[in-house]
Amino acid sequence: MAKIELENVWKRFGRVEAVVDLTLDIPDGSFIALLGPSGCGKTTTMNMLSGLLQPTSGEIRFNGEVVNDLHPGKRNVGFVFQNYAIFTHMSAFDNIAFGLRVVRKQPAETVEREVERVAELLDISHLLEQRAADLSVNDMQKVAIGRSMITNPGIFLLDEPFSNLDAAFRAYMRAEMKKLQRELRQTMIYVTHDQVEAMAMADHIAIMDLGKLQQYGTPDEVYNSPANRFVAHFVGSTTMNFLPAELGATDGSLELRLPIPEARPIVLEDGSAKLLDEKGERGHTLGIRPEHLELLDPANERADARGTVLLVEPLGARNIVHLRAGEIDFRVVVPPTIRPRVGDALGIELERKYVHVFDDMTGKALR
Amino acid sequence: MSTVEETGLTAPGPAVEPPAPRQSPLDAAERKLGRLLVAPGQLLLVLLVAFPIVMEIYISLTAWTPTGGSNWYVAYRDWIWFDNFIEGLTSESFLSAVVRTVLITIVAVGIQFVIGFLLALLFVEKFPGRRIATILFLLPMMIIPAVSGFIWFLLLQTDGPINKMLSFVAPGDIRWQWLSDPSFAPVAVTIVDIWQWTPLMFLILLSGVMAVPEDQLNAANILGASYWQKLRHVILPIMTPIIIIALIIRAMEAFKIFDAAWLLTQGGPGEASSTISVHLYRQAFINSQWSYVAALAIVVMIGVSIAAAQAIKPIERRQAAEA
Amino acid sequence: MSAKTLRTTARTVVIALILALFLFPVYWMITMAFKPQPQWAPTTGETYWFPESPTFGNFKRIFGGEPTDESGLGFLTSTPIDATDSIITSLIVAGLGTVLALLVGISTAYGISRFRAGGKLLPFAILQLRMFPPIAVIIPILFLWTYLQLNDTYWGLILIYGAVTFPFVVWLMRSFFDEIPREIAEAAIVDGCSNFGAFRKAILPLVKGGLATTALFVFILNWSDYLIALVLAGSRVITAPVFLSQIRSASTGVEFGSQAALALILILPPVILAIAIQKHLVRGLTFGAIKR
Repeated sequence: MAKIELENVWKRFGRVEAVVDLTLDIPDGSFIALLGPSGCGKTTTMNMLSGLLQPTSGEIRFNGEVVNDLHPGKRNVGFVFQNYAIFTHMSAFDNIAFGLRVVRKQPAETVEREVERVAELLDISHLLEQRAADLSVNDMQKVAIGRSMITNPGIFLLDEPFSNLDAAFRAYMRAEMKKLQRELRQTMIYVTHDQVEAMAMADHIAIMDLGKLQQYGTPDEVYNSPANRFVAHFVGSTTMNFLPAELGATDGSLELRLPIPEARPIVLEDGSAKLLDEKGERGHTLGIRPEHLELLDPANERADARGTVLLVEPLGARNIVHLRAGEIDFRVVVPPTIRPRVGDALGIELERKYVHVFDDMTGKALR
Repeated sequence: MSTVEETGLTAPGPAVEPPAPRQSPLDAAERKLGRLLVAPGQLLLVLLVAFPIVMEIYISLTAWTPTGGSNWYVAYRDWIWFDNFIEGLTSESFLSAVVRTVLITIVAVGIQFVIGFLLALLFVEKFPGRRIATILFLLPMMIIPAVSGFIWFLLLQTDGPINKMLSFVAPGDIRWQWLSDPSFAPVAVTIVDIWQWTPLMFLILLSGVMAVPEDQLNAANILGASYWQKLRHVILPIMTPIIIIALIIRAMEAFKIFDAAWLLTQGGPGEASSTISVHLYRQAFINSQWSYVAALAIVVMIGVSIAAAQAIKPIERRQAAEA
Repeated sequence: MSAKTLRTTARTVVIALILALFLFPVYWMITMAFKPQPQWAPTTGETYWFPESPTFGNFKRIFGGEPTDESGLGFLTSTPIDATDSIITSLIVAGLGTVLALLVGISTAYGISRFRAGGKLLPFAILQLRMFPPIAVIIPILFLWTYLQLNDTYWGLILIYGAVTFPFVVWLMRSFFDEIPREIAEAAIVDGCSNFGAFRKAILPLVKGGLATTALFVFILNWSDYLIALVLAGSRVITAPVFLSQIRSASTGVEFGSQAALALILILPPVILAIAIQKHLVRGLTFGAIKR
């Protein structure tokens, strides 16, 4: 059980800044996903939490105690590596037993009992006698999880643990890990570049890019109120539509004009006009998720713009319709029952509630 | 994925060769070309292995010597069956040379292993000047044996620098007779071998330590393993095959030790530092006992072959288990 | 943090100590080569840890220079020494021996690697050779050489050097050839190359580095030999290592200074070559068993 605080943590490798001024509070017993593209600093952050790396500056605290220079073995953390890092020369049993038998020198009965308990939990009891090197990758990762679980760490760190596994087993393991975390009530930090995985598993998601924290919030928050264009782009299984927009004001409402011939200006009447005063003449981008667009009959007067269908991707549970309006391409997610033909002319309506506006200079979301 | 494959390690010798990858069958022309390509090599082997062995067996059963006036191929005129073997296996000076060689090999290779392994562990972590230190440390190994014999001949003079240095650290004026005192001479020979070949041991073991997956060490670290626990439970087991190879290679070479020993002491004083190679050389070129030397050479070859086959077994077993 | 500093310091001290211990002999030889006679053969029993007033006299002496009497004691009156011939001899026999070993060895290695010729026995026989004390093999060779009148000739030494080092070439080059997918040679043949053409144009460029390493490695081995040159030659054909061991002053019995000078010259080629092939040194010295 532990609560974790990172305060103004920096990590430099020579002139490369891997982690930049990271501040993060992770409450006890929570399940956090560290999400970001490769090279964003998430693995470096994990290595600092585990103690394999020391921060260049800043503080890392476990339960209020600074652990910057504490040896990894003394932090009471469990770590599951992307490539398992199991001891290939040992049996599965010896792997799982390592922490108790070799390090803590527990009596043989205790070791055996605990290994069997963990093995049962992970459903690998029948594999214990096998050489670890001979196991399938799925079982290797289970052994690796078992090995880090057996010492009952207060903090569990998982570094892309399932990215090498096949899709079906990955889904199964996600569910299992989530269940396990509920039962054990450990603080769990999970590194991934897969936003679906992060959304599905975590209580809170910390999204990183270029070493910097972009947003820290619940899956709902990062999905519906992205802090900036990067987050908006990175989260969501079908990428958000980004449209160049010109800002203007009419009667205290914000008016967004799209560079599409005959398009209606998008008028937002919820007091957003004050954004305009602050931001002056800069360029802006309108963002809207494909599921927040509605396809209409081209004659329907609710249509904000009109376009022709370029392509339809039937995905079973939903279809993705690619539309071109003027010079702009839209992706629209529609129920499987709606399946327009290529070349059809259609109208598009933007759901006002879900329109995001980003400052082109800073990338920050204005709304 | 076995760690043995990761280190690129395949033990020397066909007994432990990796299983041949499945290949497309060769046609008759290719097979003929292959035979043609290896023919010169086979010819050289006949010259170097088959001929000496056959001839050695032949001579060893006779009492022929080059000073007897007759050619070696008519040695059958002095046929004596196994007298040479019996003489050799009961000869005190041969047997003591064998025992001495074994002792020198064990002590030298043992010390080489300890120093080499310690250094390899120290050299794993990066430190400023590591590259240059590595090259400097390899220097002794690159020095040709004739020169290293000469260098140590200089160093071990009674009023040479080694005794002078010992006099600094130990009480009194040390004037050990390294090269002419029967109890010091074998030590001198051993020291030269340690000096010259510890770098090789270091080099092999370093490549082994470097190949230990860092992830596994990190995993052990996070589980709280101390340095010794990592060494004992992770590094050593992973390195076992490479350690065995290093020991075999060094032991085989140390067993043949000649150049430095000959240049340093000629096996003397008396026979106090005589190794197997030195003993054979003296019997052949000083005492001209050719047929006797041939018999001893056969005994040595058989012994070495058996020992090497035994030594290689652990790796064989390991690879069989992994296959 | 201080525990870490302590560990670093301890490690540095240990490494420096071992390094000093192992390098002192080399240091001693190098300084010896530059010491004037009174310092390498002190009559007073004094030890000169550093060469005072270093000189090239020893180097001049081994190349036929007059034995200079820099001590002023006037006892150095031995005959001149000239190591030039022995060094040239060494270069010739080691060099041509290497060429021979490469020719035979590459052919054999390629035959084994590409065409699986020679079965299991050939590689084993080649390795077996390495395990025997050379002295045990060299005696019957001496009979044969005497019989063929190759004893104490250049060709005799070249032939034996080629034969003794060709196993290295086979094992090393085989380990390099084995790393090349056989499809490469097959593709070249499909493109119209002969088997030899495929080897020359497709395979050889890929093993260039390995070939250079092998050649340098084998040259070092041949250059280093003492025993074979001592047994199979040594009266008319004298290699440099044998020459080194034979230098004796007629008057004083020792010629430490000039011997050290020659020794220094002799170790230079191997040291330079070995540093050049450092990356592949382990593979060479372990017979291709360890590839990194």
